[in-house]
Amino acid sequence: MHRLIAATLSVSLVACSGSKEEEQAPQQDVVSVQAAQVGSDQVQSWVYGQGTARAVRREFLTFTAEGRVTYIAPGMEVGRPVRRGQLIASLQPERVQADLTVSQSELTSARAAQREAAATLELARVTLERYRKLIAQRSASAQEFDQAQAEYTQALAAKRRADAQATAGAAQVAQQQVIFSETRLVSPINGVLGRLNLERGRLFAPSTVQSTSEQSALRTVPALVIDPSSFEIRADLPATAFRDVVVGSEVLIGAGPAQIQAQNQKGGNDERFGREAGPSQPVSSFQLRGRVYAISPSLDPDTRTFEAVIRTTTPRPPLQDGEFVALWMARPLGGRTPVVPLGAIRYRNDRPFVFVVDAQAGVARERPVQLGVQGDGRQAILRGVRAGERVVTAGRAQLSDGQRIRIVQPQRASQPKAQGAAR
Amino acid sequence: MSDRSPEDGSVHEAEQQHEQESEEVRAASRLKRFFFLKTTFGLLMTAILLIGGLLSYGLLVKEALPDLDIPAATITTAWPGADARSIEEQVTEPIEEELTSLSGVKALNSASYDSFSVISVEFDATVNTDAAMNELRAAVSTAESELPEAAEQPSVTQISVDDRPILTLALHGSKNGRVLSQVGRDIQDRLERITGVDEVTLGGEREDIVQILLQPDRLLALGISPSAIRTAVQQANIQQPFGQIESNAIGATVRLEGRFDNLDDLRALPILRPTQDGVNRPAVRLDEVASVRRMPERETQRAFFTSGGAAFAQSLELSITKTPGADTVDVVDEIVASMDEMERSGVWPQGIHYSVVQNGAQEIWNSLGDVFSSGMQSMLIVFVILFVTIAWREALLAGLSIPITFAGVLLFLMLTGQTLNELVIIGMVIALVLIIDVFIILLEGLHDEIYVQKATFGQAVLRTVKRYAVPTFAAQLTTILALVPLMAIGGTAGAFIRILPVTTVLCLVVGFVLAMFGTLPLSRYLLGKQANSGAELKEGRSDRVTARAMDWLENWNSRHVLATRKRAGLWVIGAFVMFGLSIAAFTMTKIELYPMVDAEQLGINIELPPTTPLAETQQIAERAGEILRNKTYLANSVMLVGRKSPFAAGSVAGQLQPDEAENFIGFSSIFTDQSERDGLSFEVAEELRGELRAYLDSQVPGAVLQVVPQQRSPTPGDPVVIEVSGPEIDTLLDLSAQVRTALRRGGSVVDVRDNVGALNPEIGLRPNREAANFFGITETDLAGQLRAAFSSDEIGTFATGAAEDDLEIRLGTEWPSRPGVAGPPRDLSELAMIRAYTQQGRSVSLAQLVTEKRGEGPIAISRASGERAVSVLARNQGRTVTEIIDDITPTLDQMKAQWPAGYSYTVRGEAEETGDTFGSAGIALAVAIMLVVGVLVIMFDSYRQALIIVATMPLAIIGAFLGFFLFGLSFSFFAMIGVVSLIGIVVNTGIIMVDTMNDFLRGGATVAEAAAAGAARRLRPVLTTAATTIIGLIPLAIGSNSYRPLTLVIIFGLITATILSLFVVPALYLLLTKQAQAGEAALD
Repeated sequence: MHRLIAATLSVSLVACSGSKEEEQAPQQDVVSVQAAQVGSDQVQSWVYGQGTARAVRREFLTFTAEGRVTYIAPGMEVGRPVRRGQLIASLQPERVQADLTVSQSELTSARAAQREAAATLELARVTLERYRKLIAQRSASAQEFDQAQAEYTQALAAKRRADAQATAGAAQVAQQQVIFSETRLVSPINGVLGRLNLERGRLFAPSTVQSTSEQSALRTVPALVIDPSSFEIRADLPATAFRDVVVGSEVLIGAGPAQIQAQNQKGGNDERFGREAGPSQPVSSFQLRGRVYAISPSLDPDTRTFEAVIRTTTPRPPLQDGEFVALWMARPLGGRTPVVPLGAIRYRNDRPFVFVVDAQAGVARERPVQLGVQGDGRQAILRGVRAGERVVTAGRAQLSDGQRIRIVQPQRASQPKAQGAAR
Repeated sequence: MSDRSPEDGSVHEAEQQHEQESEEVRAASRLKRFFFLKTTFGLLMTAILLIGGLLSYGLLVKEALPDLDIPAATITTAWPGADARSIEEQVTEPIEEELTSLSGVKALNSASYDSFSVISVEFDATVNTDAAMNELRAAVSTAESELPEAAEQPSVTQISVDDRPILTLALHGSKNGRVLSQVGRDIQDRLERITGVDEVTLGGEREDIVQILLQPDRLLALGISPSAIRTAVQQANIQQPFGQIESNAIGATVRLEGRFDNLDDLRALPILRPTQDGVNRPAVRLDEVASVRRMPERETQRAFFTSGGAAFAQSLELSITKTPGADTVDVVDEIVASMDEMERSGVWPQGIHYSVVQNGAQEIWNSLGDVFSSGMQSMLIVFVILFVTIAWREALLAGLSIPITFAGVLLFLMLTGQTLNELVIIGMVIALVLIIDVFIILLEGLHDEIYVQKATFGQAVLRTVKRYAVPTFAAQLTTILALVPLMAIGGTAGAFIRILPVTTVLCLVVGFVLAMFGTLPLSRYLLGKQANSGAELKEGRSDRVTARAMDWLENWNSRHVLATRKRAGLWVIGAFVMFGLSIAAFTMTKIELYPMVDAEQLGINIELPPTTPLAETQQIAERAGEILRNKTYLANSVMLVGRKSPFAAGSVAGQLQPDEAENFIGFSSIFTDQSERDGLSFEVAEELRGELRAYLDSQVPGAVLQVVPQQRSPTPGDPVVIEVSGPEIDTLLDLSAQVRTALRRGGSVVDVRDNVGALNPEIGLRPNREAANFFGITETDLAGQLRAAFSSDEIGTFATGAAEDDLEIRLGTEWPSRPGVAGPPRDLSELAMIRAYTQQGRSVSLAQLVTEKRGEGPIAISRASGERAVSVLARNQGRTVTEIIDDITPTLDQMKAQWPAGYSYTVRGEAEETGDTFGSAGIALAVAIMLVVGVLVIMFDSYRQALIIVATMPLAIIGAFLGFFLFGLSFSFFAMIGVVSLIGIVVNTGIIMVDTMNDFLRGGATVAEAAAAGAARRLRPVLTTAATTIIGLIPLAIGSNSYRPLTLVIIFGLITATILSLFVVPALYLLLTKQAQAGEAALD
């Protein structure tokens, strides 16, 4: 009987062990990711530069004579528009004026003498002609003829002398006029008064003007007139950027429109009107544009930079002369290449790679890529992916080659964020 | 007759009394009279035990599980500015080299981060803590000399379990983080003054700083380097005492007060500009190139709180830890009182309240309370059994002795500096069911003598002592000796469990002493009169039933078991077969160290891709929080944005990783009471995991989820740990990915991850040395300038009023993509605006100075046992850890064959510990058996008889193993403890039987008769003792999830042991005993 019990027990044991299998579903080995299509496009990338903006036409006006400033045009202040030929200021005009008047009157008298001499000459000539005729008729003496000749010659010489004096008088007047103009500041261009370093009654001497540097010149020159309709910016670019800029490229200058950044900042932080820098703002938002006007082929050995000259193309650019601006110069567009969002790229040991979606197998495949230029939050790929393939963007940090993936489209119901470079 | 002293009248009286005494009593020695017959000593001892016990109860520190004094420490070394590889090579490795020479080191893990290194050392639990710490510090000092100069001094911090908070509060009610931070700091000051409070940590706090925000475009325009600004601020911010003018009239201390204490002062600081092109450029004010503001520091984490389904409110988290040795319950009470007082007195701004998130004292009361009530139930049941089985007076005596025993044990615990925890109570309950046997035997014996033999009380006592003292002592001794090896189990688990056998043994000893020297003499008060007035034995019904059962058993045994030797042999073989079956069943049973039980805390971590900014993390956290908020089974939750949950803290390997980063989300939740929800906490947690997983899978790319229900084990953390070691980190990451995939394919695991986490994209800037030299910019200078563009470093302190702490002055850059705060640029285009400044003030594009190198790196380089290693961590679900590891080992070995040379894996975590623990528990079992055999051999003077008794042990094991197998339970650590305890318990049955059989044999019966009679005649005590044990443990088995395995092992084992012993022990006796043993063997 005991054996029966034992046998029953052992059978039941075996039966029980069979049912002990617990089926456990394998742990989810699928990573959720977002994917984006590889586009084909030309990527516009930009080179950063910075420099000081100066008006293209700027005139430094100075007196070359010494003197006291006695006249400044009324209402003349920095920022006022000036017309071409407008008098801005002048030094002690009376003496010079007197001198000029004297010269002019001398000229007048010289001209009068000139006319007199011309008349005398005419008379002498006529007389000579008459005597020549008389001589032919044997009506006059040779002596009278010689006298008439001599008087003609005399009159000629006198005329010449009078001419010369008139010329000298004219020259004198011209000289006085120049001296006169040297005591006047007259705007040669239509523009705006940039600097006015004069005061009525102050003594001015040409030696006070220092032209050794821009700054000193600006501080000492009596007046600066600029034409604010066109500015020029000289940017020093590092030698490595030489092949990236060509004459005629478009340039984005300074900031886009000032924008209020609505951030999720809580409690006590002021909101700032920030000046965004860079073409991460949509290119269309840049109001100030220019073109690369000239590129220097020579490298400054001290700074290892070369100069690029940019001229603004926007009419009436809102710049100040001497303003320090940031620039974004467009690189020449390459051909169409496959383009991926910047957020799709990962690097390992300085080698970039992306994860391409293998839709059939439902996995992500790691693919090394060769990078081209980047801009607008996008990266051009020279080798490694083709247009139309899909690459993983969000969630790429969790992937390894062959990892099973699931593509999701999360709803972002909350406020639209400022996207920045990673779109 | 004793001598008379003629002068002493009282002696005459005494003599008369003596004459009234019986022979035996008169002949008793003075010692016996004093201890057993007089009640003086008994009363004294009882009083001491009782009073001492009551006092001790008040004084004992109460906790749920014993705090382990595990020697472990972390060594932190900072080297600002160094990258992780340099730190690893020059800081971590030299220190590790010194540490590997220490003895007793169990685990050595390290992580090298950017700018600092963390090494964690864990010693074996058996090592003396102080000695270990001293050796550790000495080793670190030796290593210090090899560290680079720029590195700071390593700091050694001892880890103690007290690092877990005893109380977590959430402060909420204001949307203004600053207000909360200020109130939080006040509370922190106040609470830290309470004795017993070690530290109050604030989470989500933002300190105020003075932030200098550089405007990059202004800097470029004016040609000022950030280093120039830093230098200017630092040089101006001086406070220096000069000395004393020693003069009567004008004596005073003179000092320079150059420190900034006024923002306008700081704003007006002139910054010199170097001459450029020979032109002197005027200095500029600081506020022309930067904005200077006092503001809260950059937000890196936020905390929110919800309770009862309300919306998440911004909150400040306060975690409070206690000093070692302090009583949690007392400290928590004081803290709560203090907080209430502050709230009432209106010190806080309007609307600010606090809520208790986690209450350590409550947890202690709950778990202690559970076990305590089960213990009380056991005691009651035992009383009932007593009253049923023996007469009421004896039952009363036994019943009262039990609490006194416990009181005595509490006294000893307090004197030896222990705490009152669950294991102590469990130990007492087990002891209860064992001790009661002693009392039953002694009191039954007394009862027998008084009622059946009609002895006087004194005679009865002496006879009982003579007859039962030694066997009872022997029985107790075997039990004690069986339990003693439990104290020697190695590893953390062994140290953790130690107090249980200690308590049980203490109970047994105190109980025995009390029974012999207290209960017996003091029973004179109840039984004395009965005895001396000639007690009448009233045969109760129970006696009749028992008599009938005994007769039946004796007959049955004689006929079926003991008829022939062959029959007996068949029975024995049958028993062996069953034993074999039970062993087979055991191999198919699941084994795990600590089974999951219902617990209060739940920690959830969500790790988003490394580049996620705080704002986006916040959004995702809020949506996940919605899911949690609506769960009725969660009483309250704290949402941490930018930080992991402290409730989900991992194992030591995982703790080396930073738990604060903008892409972390943590939820710390507390379950409602078990009665208010349906489902155990860990089951519900799995459902929740499924929901969160579904949400994350569909809405959040690249998210990693961890759901960690609380585990009640001394070493919390991930149970599955596979350590992959080798030379190159990149290869290790690949290999760890393979291991992770293999683990996932194997199934039954959740939260699979490695301790490195997702890789962080890195941009390395390598200086072009020639260019740097050309421009005259040193690397240090370049580094300093770049730092200001990317971080916000402290460059000095700003003096505030005396009541407040000084503020830090931080230097950072304000980028347009993140206005108003300091930090790195968010936009690629802004990177182009970072330029380096030469001495002449000209700015140079970075492209001319550095080459960029992009890659990815782990945030830290982790090492284990002195080698580079990456640990793969996971938690088991549905199957035990050992099962999972066993399944996956072949796959791992196959993979390993393909790995490059130098790479290997090791299994750590619970599987390693299980192996260690069960291994040493097995040894403990073997030692216990040996000790018991030894005692038996001495007691019975016969190896064969010892063998007979020892044979009851397998009978018990049959019950234990088969029971677990049939009910599908997993064999855990406590079950193992139960098996070892069982050994000691069942032996007593055998001892009783064999002892009686020997008596009969000596009395002249045949072996078969003796066997049958011996088993049958002692049926009552055998069944009673077994029944008291079994029924006494049932409340604990039902009531307590954690200790059910322990009690079930004993219950099952006793059932089979008792029943089978009644048949198998006589059979063995018949087979192994010779008639000739009746007499003394001739020893010639």
